[in-house]
Amino acid sequence: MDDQAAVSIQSIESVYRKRSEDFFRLALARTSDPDRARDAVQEGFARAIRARIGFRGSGSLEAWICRCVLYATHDPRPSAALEEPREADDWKPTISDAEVRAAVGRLPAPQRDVLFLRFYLNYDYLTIAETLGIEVGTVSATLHAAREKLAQALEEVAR
Amino acid sequence: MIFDDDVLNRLTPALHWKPDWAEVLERAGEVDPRRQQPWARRRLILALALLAAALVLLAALAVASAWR
Repeated sequence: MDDQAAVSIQSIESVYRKRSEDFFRLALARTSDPDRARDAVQEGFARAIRARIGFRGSGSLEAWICRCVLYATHDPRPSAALEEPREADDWKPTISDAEVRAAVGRLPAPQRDVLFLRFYLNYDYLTIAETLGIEVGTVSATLHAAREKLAQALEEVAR
Repeated sequence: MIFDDDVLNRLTPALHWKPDWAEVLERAGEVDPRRQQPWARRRLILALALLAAALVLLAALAVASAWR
């Protein structure tokens, strides 16, 4: 192991111990598939280890790793995001769950990501901005737009 | 209608997360030092056993030579 690297593997492991479960929820929300979500978390951290030399400490390590996990959730299939969940042993979505899923799925991807990072990881605006590589001001506006759009969508469903 | 963030919980039903750091290291092509440790210990034990055997052999030879 390379202790001279910009980030030590131990630092990455510390983030893993502390946050991998939250990252799993984030990946699950994005992929709708527990197996793919698990794979994304494992692969995201593995990528972070392989690319740790490239981390220069300009932002938080966790945000940088989170970006690796988000990248790992990407699927070549264009409609993969927020598809109907695969029938897992202990996961039987109800109709209302499916409606929520559909409403969230109709959000533009940047709005979805900001919403997910805020909700599942409880990130502040600065960390969301670091993770997604956007301006802090954009985070606030995007989050507001996402909540408003989702509220409207769910209201329409409720009628 | 007021949007409640908790509605997002429906996207992630409670599923058990099993962390596996060793698998992450394996994917990254790194070696887990904690897994390496038993091998290192076994190598040390083997080396000590070989050394002891060699000493016993030398001692036996020495004794045999003295008898002549």
